[in-house]
Parts: sequence; structure tokens; C-alpha cells
Amino acid sequence: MSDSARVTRRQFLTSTVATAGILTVAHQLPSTSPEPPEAAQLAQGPAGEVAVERVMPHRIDGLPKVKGEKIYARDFRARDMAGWPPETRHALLLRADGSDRPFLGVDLSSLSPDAAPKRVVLAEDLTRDRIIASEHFLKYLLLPKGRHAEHAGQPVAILIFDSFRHLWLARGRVHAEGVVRYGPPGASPVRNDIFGTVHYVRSAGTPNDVFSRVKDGWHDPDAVGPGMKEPQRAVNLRAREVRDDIKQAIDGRRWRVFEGTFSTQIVDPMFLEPEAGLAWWNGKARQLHLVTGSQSPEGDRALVLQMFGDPRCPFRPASLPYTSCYPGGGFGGRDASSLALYLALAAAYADGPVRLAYNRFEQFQSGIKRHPSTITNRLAVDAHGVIQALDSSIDLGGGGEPNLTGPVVQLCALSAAGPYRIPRTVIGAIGRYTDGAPGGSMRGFGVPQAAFAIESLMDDVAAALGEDPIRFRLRHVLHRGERDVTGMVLENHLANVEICELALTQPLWTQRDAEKRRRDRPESAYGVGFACCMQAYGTMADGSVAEVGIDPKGEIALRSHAVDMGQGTATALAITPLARLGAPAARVEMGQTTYFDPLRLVTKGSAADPRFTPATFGPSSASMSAFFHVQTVEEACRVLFDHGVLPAALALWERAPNAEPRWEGGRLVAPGLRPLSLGEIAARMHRDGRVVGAMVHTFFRSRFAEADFTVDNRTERRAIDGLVLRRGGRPRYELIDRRNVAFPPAETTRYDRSLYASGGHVIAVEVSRVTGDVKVLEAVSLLDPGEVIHPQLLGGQIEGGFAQGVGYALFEELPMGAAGATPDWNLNRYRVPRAGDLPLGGLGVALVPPPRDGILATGPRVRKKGIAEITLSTVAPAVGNAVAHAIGRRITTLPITPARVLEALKRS
Amino acid sequence: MSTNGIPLTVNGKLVTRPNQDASLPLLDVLQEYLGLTGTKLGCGIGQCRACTVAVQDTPGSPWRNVQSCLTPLAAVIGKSVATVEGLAIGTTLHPLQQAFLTEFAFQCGYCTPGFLMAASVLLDQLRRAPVAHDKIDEAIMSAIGNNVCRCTGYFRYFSAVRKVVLAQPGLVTA
Repeated sequence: MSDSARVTRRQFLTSTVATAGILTVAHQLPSTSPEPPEAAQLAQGPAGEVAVERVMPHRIDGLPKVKGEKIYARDFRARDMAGWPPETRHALLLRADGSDRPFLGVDLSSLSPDAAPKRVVLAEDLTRDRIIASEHFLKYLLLPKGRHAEHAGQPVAILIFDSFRHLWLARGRVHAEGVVRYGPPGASPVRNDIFGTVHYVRSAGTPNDVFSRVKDGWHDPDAVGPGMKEPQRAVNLRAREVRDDIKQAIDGRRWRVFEGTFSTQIVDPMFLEPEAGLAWWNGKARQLHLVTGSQSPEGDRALVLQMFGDPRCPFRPASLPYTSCYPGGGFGGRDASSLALYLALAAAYADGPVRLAYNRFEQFQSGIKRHPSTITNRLAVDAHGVIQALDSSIDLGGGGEPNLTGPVVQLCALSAAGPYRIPRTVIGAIGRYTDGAPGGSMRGFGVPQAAFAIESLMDDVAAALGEDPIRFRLRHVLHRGERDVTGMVLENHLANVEICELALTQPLWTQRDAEKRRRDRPESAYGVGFACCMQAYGTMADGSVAEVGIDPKGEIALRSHAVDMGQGTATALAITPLARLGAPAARVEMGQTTYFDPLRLVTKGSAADPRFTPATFGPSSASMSAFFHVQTVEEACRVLFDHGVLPAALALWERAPNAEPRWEGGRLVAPGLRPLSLGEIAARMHRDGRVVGAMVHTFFRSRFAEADFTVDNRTERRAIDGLVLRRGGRPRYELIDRRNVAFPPAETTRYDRSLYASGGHVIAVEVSRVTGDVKVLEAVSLLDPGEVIHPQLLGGQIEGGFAQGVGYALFEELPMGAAGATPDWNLNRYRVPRAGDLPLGGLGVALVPPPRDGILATGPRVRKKGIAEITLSTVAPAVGNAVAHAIGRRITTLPITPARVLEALKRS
Repeated sequence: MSTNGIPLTVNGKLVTRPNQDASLPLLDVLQEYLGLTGTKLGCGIGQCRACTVAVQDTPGSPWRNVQSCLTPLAAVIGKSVATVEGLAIGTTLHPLQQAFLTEFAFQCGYCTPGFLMAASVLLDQLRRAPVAHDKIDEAIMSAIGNNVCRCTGYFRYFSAVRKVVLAQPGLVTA
């Protein structure tokens, strides 16, 4: 494996944090509960059975959204910010159209005075001011004169305008007239950068694998030259040997081999709010204020600080107040985006508050994309119809910047074998430079590409064997306790069997052949397809932080580092205190970063340091909310209950109950004792100086870190590794030193992912033999969400994932290379699904029941899973399989356009 | 246009903009100069309809959908413009706002103002010309079928609008 691929998602976001002493203030605009907590207390039944829809009748962030209030980064101007100068300047990035000609400069002579910028920022300004580019983006933040662009769309200059009118006049003209000057076309520098590679060679054995990533370590069977150091070279040589044996076996005559090459396209997240932000460099106070809507506020902050990190840089901030707005959609496209960098640069040179707001053309040209892929899979099946081997070769187009291609390549490779038990696997994946906008963290993170390839081929194999495609899968799906392609034992809950069994019972599936006979016409064909997947949630190692507090009236306030870009995290977190504290949070503030500084977490050192944790917290991505962030809030609520609510209740009751108290109708009850409202308890908590606020940090790597925490002479072992308390009547935080910490064992550092949600789709289509159009008629989404937090939020994720999946399957595509990074892409050419493209009312849902004993083999009983991505990943292969069922031809390239359908129909 | 500037009514209030704003998109006038940022830019070319506002040419005439990103200020001189900020009356939400909330119709919410305004125009149309019960879905599709939402599958938006149409008397013929 190359060094570049070793840059993990987390390293990307934290590798630049050399920011001790820099004060950053961050907050996401708060949301308030739709109902006062008293309303929640009217809900009937024990807390765990409270009808959550009565408690939370709409999203906690819903009211400002339906009223059109200012909550998105795009909404803010300087006049909206307290203490800022009132006037807003406006910035515009000029970008290189292509990378085939050297950049000579910017010629603004054609702009009339009313469209002239007050300032033009060029590469030489950045060099003079010792501004540092990040290795994760481009070598040059702004392209120096005389150089070829590193990729089409690379920024060459920042124009700063005094007023919106100047910007508006100039924007049209600079694009229409072309103010960027180039030299003659000629040979551009050859770019063959590799942004990431990964290999998973595994040969199963009993009881131990013959060879695997987990047993033997990272390996690259191609890196066996004399330059490779021992002992890595020996591992690589062994991997090569095992790989060659498996390939030889596949090439031999023993098994029947099925091969397919599958391609997917570049897709834009197309979140509806183009990226935007507002910033102000207050030179006197050396404060850099940022207002953005990002999925990775902490990462943005770190990258900006690194950019201005040279001591000689005149813009090196003493503090970085950061306002985290509700993003207007994200889907991974706002995770590790460069917007914050250019916004901060604009602020440095604007001489006042400045707004950088991409229009849709600029967003298409520059925003993060889903990687295009070409995947060749060879599946070897024995005489009994059992899959014996997979040889998978994966090639992802990374775009023009490294961004998160390395981690995406890794997850794509990890998912290459689908949810299947395959004893011999040779998986090799590469992510390489391609001209154009960067590929990054878009929803699915490499899994949709892998799923399209393996699920298409699985159907072809089943058809060749004459077996029902779902029953064929059912014979092969991984069970809990079996090993994945890395050789890791899947010790946590897994529901692949349940998904296939659910699918088999769907009328859409059981009636598919009868319906096909009934509906097929000379001009159109009906087909039903299935695809399934197990999608990881979380990354290789995840930290999460939250604080829950109760005020003297019993109102619960909650803060989290997570960002709600529409997926419902704010609402899900607000619901969480209900079970343990008897009421939901009335106020939630998301996107916090330095608010959690009192935990004083460090990532360097060892477990002996009570402040050490392997990971602080990262971006809001990887379907993390339901499992990680909710669990973190749950742990904070436990602390509050144990050291605040319960002692106060005991004081009010003046004796210990003879059974465990529980919440009933919003009151804490115990046999023979007076029911207590949270308000009454809270008042006593504050009066007695009990714990009224708990800030906790969780760390998870295959299992949660655990430690003992002693508060008020009571010691509890908790699934957290950091704890800070607030007490009634005391303003200061109280940092609690943990004892006997147990971090996940060292072997778990070899686990690439350990948590999976399973899912699938059964989809019916009608294919026009005349026009080639594919129409989705009906579908069932099959899902393993664990315990449902809020049925309406889950429904929204299922429906939205399905709609995006249909777009991926049938419509959406940006061309490869510079052609996809020109400033003329918009929704007139890039088709996203509209209501008429979807079977409104025709999407059924079938859920796997939550695991009774929890998801984890070790640790707390957690029953909720992350599902934001799995709802999308199997749509395209299910559509592809439905089309194949309909017309008897396999289309191996996404999107399945009319032209591709007509071409397939012509094949004999 | 006159020497006194460009008059228009926005959410019931008369405003006047200088003549030099005549060619500015209505969306930008709302956002930059009137502080009304509830109307959203999505594509800027009239495709996504996040920028939808309602316009009434003369008092009492039907309201119609207008894509404010494409519409120059000059096109609404003397007319009434309604934006999302004008839907609620005090603290009382418009029935569509309430329905979008209770149906969990939106997620990120950025497209919501466009859906609200397009659907509010539909209600106005139906008040003037009720449709048969079996034509409701067609009418809703015609009103909001071209609005882009990237987070949802549209199901809940359609369900919410349908419920409001059915709940308000006089919009559907027997």
C-alpha cells in the first residue's frame, strides 16, 4: 500500500491541527424544541415506550425552515452579524478552464468601472504573505503565472468587489468574455498521481486464515522490489504468493468463472444550497471570523489555521470565531471542501467583511463529486454453485486533488465482495488523478460503485445457474461471526440473512414473473430487480462529544459537534434524553467545536494520561448520527441521572425507593412515593449543588473505550473516556479524571470497519423498447436500522436515499476530464430526479426488527444503526437488475440512459 | 419605471427601488436590498424553482408562480410579490407551513420556500377554480412537480399539499 493511501479520513482532518493557543469560538445556530418540555411530559406510558411522534411532532429545526428565517450560510451578510462593520464586500473566484495551456494572467480591461473589482488577489500575493497550501487540495491555492493548471477549474485569482452590484455586473462579463489569459495550447505536464491504493488479499482457513489483512497486516503484492524494507517486503511477497495462487485457481478448470466490467459516472451531490460563506478579518484584534455551512467545521478550522500558520504571515489569527450554519444539504459534498480556505483568503485581502457565494455553475465546476469507477470482477463458482473466489480490480477517478480519494478507495475495496462469504479474495483498488473537480466523501463513500459491480454480477451468476437471485445470495451472505475480506470476524450485529428473507416475501418479488407475463408488451418490457449490501457506518476510529445540561426549571439543553445538514441529527439528539431524563431537549446547538475544550482532550501520548484519546471528533459523515452521536448523548444523560437527577429525587423523597425509579408520563415514579416532575427535581439539583451538566467524550474502534469515573464518592464504569461536569450554583467546569481506562485492544487497529447496516431494494421498472426510457414503477426499500429513533426521520432518509439512487441509476452524469469542469454545467444539462421520475406513493418499506441484545458483542447495549448511505447504495444495481430482467440484456454502465438501453436491445 | 424609482409591493408593504435596479434579478433585490433571504438561489436559471415567489399583477387577479432568479425587477413594477416571509400571520403558520412541518416534508429545508410558494399559488388557483377529487394529484404535480428537492423523495411534500387541499373547504368539487 502506498503512503498516500495511508492518509485516513481522520488524518486528513486533523493532520494540520498544530493550533495550541488559538481560540476558536464556534456555534451552530440553535434550534428550539417545537413544544415546551411540559408537552412531552403529557405523553403516556413508560419512557421507553413514549410515542416519540407526540413528543417531537416535527423537526426541531423545522420552524425556522418553514418561515424562511436566516439559518443557512448563504443568508448572512455583514449587517446581520453583531459587532461587525455593516458593509459586505463580495468575492468571486476566477478559475482555469482547462489544464492544457499555461496561465498568463488576468485581463480585466474589458470590465467597465462599475464592474471593476477593488482588489485582485493573485498567487504572488499569497507567496509574499507566506500563505501555505494544504497537501490535500492543490499545490497552489492560486495558480501562479506561467504554469499549467493542476486541474481544470483550479482557482487563478480572487476578485473582491465593493458591492453586490459590482459583483453582479462583473460575474456575467468575466464568464462571458473570458478574462483569464492563457498561452498557446501545448503539451501539458503529465499527471499520473496516485491518490490511494489498497489491496485485500485473503485466503480463508480453519481456524485461522491462511493470509489476510487482519492476520498478516497491510500488504501490497506489487511492492516487492529491493526498495521495499523488511519486514513489509516479506508480507508483500507472501501476499503476492497467495494472490497468484488464487488467480491461478480462478484461471484453472476447476471452477466456472463469471466476469464483468462495470462503470459508473461522476455525480454531483447537488445539494440545493451552493456553497457560501461570510468572513471578516479583524486585523486589529487579529480575529478571523468565519460563517459557513460545513459538514466538517473542525476540519475547516484546522485547515484555515494551517494556511495562515507561518509566523511571518500577516494574517495569522489569534482567534478564529466560527459560526456553523445549517447546511442546505450536504451528502458528503461539504466534508473537506475548499470553500472555507478561499473564503478565509478573501477575508484576508478584502479590508472588511466579505461574502463568497458560489452560483450553481461555479458549484458544478468546483464542488466535490462522487468518484467515477471502473470495476472488473471475476467470480469463480464450484460445481455445487458455491462461490469460491473473487478477483476484483477497482479503478476510481479521483479528480484533480487528493481530497478524500484514499479513504474512498479503501471503503470501495472493502465492499468489493458485497455482503458475501467468499473464501478467496484478491481485491486491488487504485484512485488516480483525473482532470476536473475532486472526488470526495459523497454519500456512499465508494460503496455505491462497488455494489453496482458485485450486485450486477451476482444476478448474472444466479441466472446462469438457473437459481432465484435472492436465494443464490441467501446461500452466500455473511453471518455474524464469519470473516470479511480483511479476515476480521464480524462480531457485531449483522442482518444480511434477514434482508434477503424479507425480500423473498415481498409481493413485488414473488409475483415478478407473473407480472412480467401480464405487463410485457411489444413496445415495453417489465422487470423486477433486487440488490443488497452491507454498508459500514462510522470510520476506522471515531470520537464524539456532547454536553447535556438541565436548568433550574427542568429545561434540557444539548450541545454536539455534529452538524445537521438535513439528515435529522439535531432532532434525533433532542429526543435522546427522553428515556433517561423524562423529557426531550428543548434546545440543541450543533456544530460546536471549541465548546468542548474543557475536556482538554489530546491525541498524542498514551492511555496513562487521562486526557488522551485516540480521536477527538471529526466531520458529520459516514452515517454516524444514530449510533455514535446519539450514544454519546445517552452517556451524558446517564451521568446526569446518576449524579444529578437521582440524588435530588432521593432528597425530595427523603428515603430510598424499593424499586428502580422510572419515568412515567414525564414524572419520575417509584412505588409508594410521590411522583416528581423534572422541574421539581431540577430545582433541587441546582439548590443542592448536584451535577446539572455533563460533557462526555466517547471513542469507538470496534468497541467503545471504557473507564471508571468517581463522582460524589460513587464510582461507575462508563463507555466514555472523558468527562466534565457542571454543578448547580457553580460557574466552573469540573474535570473528572478517569481510572482504569480500557481502550479497544491493539488488534482493532487492523479493523477497517466493524459496524454494518444491511439493506436492499426490490425495484420494478418498465423499459420502453421504442425510446429506451426506463421508468421506475414501484419499489420496496429493505433496511436494518436497528431501533428506530423517529419513524418520520427514518422515512425521510429512506425516501431521499431512494430518490438519489434513482438519479444515479438513470440520469445524472458529468463527463470525465476537463469537459466536466467547465463553467457551463447546471440543471438544464444535469438531470436530477423530479417528482415525476419517482413512484410517488409506490415506495414500500420493510424493516428488520432491532436486535434484542444490542448491536455490539462487547460494551453497552446500543440498538441504533447508521443508515443514511445504505438507503442509496443498492438502488442503482437493483434498477440495473430490473432492466436486465425486463429486456434480457445487462447494461454495465451507469447511468442507464435511453441510448444505452437501445444499444443493448440491438445486441443479439 | 419613473423618476421616483421602481415601486412594488412585497408581502403587503410598498417598497421603492432605484431605477438602476431594473435589470437586477428579483431574487437579488429581495436578498441584497430588502433583507429577505427566505427566497433561495438554487440554480439561477429557473430550473430548480427554489427561488419561486408568488406575484399578483393587479389587486384581486390570480397569483402566479415566478422564478425570481430569472425575473428582472422591471418585470414586477407595480405588482405584488409574496415571499415565504409573508406566509405566516404573526405566530400563526400558514396551513402549508404547518403541514410541511407535521408531514416531515423537508429535510435540509433549503427548497422549502419554493415549494411553499408554488403550493400557495395552487391553493389560490383552486379557490378560484376548484378541481374534481380525481384531479387533485394532477393539479399538485402541475404546481410543484418541477421543484427540485435533493433530500427527500418528494412523497411527503405531495402528501402535505394534498392534505391541505382536502382540508380547506371549496378547493375540490364533489
